[in-house]
Amino acid sequence: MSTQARKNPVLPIWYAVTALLCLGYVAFPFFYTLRSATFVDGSFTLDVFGEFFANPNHVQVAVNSAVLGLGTVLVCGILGTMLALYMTFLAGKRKMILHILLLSPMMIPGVITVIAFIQLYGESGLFTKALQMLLNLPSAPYSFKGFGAILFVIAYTQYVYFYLNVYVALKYLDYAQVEAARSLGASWGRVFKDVIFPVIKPAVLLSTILTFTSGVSSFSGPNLIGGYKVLSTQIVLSKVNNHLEMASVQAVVMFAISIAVMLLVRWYGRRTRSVQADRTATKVVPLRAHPALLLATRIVVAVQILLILLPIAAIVYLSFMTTGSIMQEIFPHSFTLENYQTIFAKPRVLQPLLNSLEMATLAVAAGLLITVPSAYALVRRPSKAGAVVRFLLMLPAALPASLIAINLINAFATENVFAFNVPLIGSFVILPIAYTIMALPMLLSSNEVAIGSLHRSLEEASKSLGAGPLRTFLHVIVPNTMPGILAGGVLMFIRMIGEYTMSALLYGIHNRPISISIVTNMQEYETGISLAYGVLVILVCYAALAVIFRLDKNRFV
Amino acid sequence: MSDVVLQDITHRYDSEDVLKHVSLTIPHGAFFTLLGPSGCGKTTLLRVLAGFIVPSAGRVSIGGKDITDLPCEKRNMGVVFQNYALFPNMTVRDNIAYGLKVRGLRRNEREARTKRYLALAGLEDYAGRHVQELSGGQQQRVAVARALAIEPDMLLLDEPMSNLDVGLRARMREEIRAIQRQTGVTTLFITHDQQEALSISDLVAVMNEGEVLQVGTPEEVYNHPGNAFVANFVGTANAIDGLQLRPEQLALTQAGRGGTTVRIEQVSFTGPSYEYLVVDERNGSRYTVLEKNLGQGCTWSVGDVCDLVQDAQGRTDTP
Repeated sequence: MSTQARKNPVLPIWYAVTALLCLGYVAFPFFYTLRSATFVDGSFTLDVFGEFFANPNHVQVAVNSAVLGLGTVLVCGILGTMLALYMTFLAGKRKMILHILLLSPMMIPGVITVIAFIQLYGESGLFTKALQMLLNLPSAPYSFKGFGAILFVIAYTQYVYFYLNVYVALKYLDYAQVEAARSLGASWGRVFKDVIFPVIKPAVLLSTILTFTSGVSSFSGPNLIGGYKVLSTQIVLSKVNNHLEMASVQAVVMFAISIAVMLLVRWYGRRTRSVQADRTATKVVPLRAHPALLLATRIVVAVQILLILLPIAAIVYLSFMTTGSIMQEIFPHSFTLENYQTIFAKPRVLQPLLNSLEMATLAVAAGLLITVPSAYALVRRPSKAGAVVRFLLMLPAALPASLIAINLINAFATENVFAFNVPLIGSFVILPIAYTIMALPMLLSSNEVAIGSLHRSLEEASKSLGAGPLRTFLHVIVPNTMPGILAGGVLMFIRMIGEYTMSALLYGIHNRPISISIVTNMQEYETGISLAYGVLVILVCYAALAVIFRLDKNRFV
Repeated sequence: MSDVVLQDITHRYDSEDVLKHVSLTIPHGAFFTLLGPSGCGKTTLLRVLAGFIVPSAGRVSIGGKDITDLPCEKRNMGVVFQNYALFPNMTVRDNIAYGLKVRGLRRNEREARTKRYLALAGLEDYAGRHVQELSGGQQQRVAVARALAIEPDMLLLDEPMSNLDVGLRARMREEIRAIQRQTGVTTLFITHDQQEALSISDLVAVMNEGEVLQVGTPEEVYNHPGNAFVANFVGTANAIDGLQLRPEQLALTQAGRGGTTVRIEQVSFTGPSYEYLVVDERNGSRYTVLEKNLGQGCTWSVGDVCDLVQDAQGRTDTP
């Protein structure tokens, strides 16, 4: 098999093309950013870094970002792990529906969540006003601004990582070990520390990296809620002010913070021994908890479910109200279809939605085109060259969204050999390219799982019956791995259709995406249109989710 | 004497009684085996004793002290799980010391006791190893040592041999028995293997469908089975004139000597003996008969007609 692989000229060519694309669009652009940060007027200087670190305001912004990242990890870690433990040990009936509900925040683009939260908890939000009237207060009982409010929104969207990863890890818990520890006299606290935590530790560490990175680089929350300056918002500001060197420095600082934490977590993970998944594990038996404890946990879960459903309900409800009614009435009740009619009647208003659909589709298609053959080669013919290609394809996972966008601006604002000497910034394709870059790591790993689970004998059977490699690939491998591959693609489609961070830095007149339109309509007091956009995107996402469920139910269960 | 007494235990799970009015007394220091097919409720009974489940009805007591509602971590029961449930993030030594650490034993006492049980299980050379690096037999020794180190009131073994290959199984059986004799700990052993149950136990309780059918010494249960189920589960049985007779209690003689006339349907060689499957062609009843292997081949071959008689000597007459 391996000698055959060496003779086969297709694989090296494929690897070379993939590597070249990754280098051209991911790695080199990062060096352009470094150059932009350190070369002023053609000579090397650390002046811009000096400017950054000499200004306490800049440093404070970096500290704020790190604190937001840590806060995100802490809140999401506690909430997500607790929910996973509840679902594993205590949940009985309706477990499946609960599980899907708990996962649902992942399915709504962050920018829409933030807007829904503002409509609910903002100064004139539905919840705020209801509470104010209920308590008979002269003004809003709280101010939905600053660190707390931003953390609240981010925690709401990001706990899902902890929840899902820990929940899946707990499936490999050997329940007999829990009973063994109990029979040896261990309390539940000790059982968690000595038996459960070692099993979920890899999942906890991975989720820590994921949520820290998304907390540090989060943009929609800090940008729309305000009251707390972070690097992502300052990067956009620097770019708008045409201070691209400063934007580059800020993006590099953000990258440094997230890489530092990633390395720290990795180091901790390697220092301590992790537990391998056990195939002979005994299944978890649902516990009979103390009634008081059960009630308490049920209340926490019920509140969580309410928190998840409320924003969606609010945004759907308000999208059927006239903008005047939303702005003026305490509880809007002037029903209208006008918002939706405007969107579908005016091509100019509909265009952003069509743009996003097109760009997300393009990005997923391009991403799959690159990652499916690569994943196949990586799974079936592991090699050193393959490892290098894999590293390059996974690279974007380590880059915050703002940095990917700044890299592209630095690399493609002028002619670039990788773009056949056409400036890409300002053109339609720059956003699909950015989306593709961001989707590569997730698509690759999801394809590797899909292809890895295909039994090799199926392929060998096809070959033994006389089918060539191409025929085998098209008629045996593709049909059998397609559900998993497409499900991963659909998930990325959902992620990209409402993408906001990179979009804010890269969009132009030709490719204005829906996320930008949602925000600008909100800011231009076209609230009704903005919310109707939001509902339409949610509808698209849920339709896509239904597709995933048909294709690959196991992904979530 | 701290006998373990199970009194009228019933356990309902998913509206099905998995244990039905089980009453048992396990004498102090005994090696007591629960024998039965899978799904008979024997593991549920062990879990009731361990405190993992509280029975729907009935009481459990040790030495007259009621422990029915005592949570498992307060019970002092040593449990050896079917998959051993060793903590994979700990070494052999740490696994054995775990229960002592939880109990807050002082360091030097803890170390001394851990050492003692490492020695008892013959694991001194493996103390620093991680449990994944051990063979199946070694893992089982760790599991037994860990359960015994807390010096439990009772040792509970849940089909501990089921993951071992045949040769190792017999050896581990002897080892467990030896350790039990040495420590004198009251032991409940669970198995579905009748040979294992007969060879290792002081007392055997045969269970089926949530009920205890018979309790007795291995000899009593084998030689005088209380009913057809026990007779068939504990060895092979032939029902003749209302009696349950073992294959070695029957013999074949030349036709016309006054026994039941049967035809040889099948002969199989098992090493120490030949096993005949014979059929009474008048009513279709089938019987199993053993003939000792004397090194001269079997007496009967397929198709022969002969008589089936009771034979206390366990020999068949030559034709």
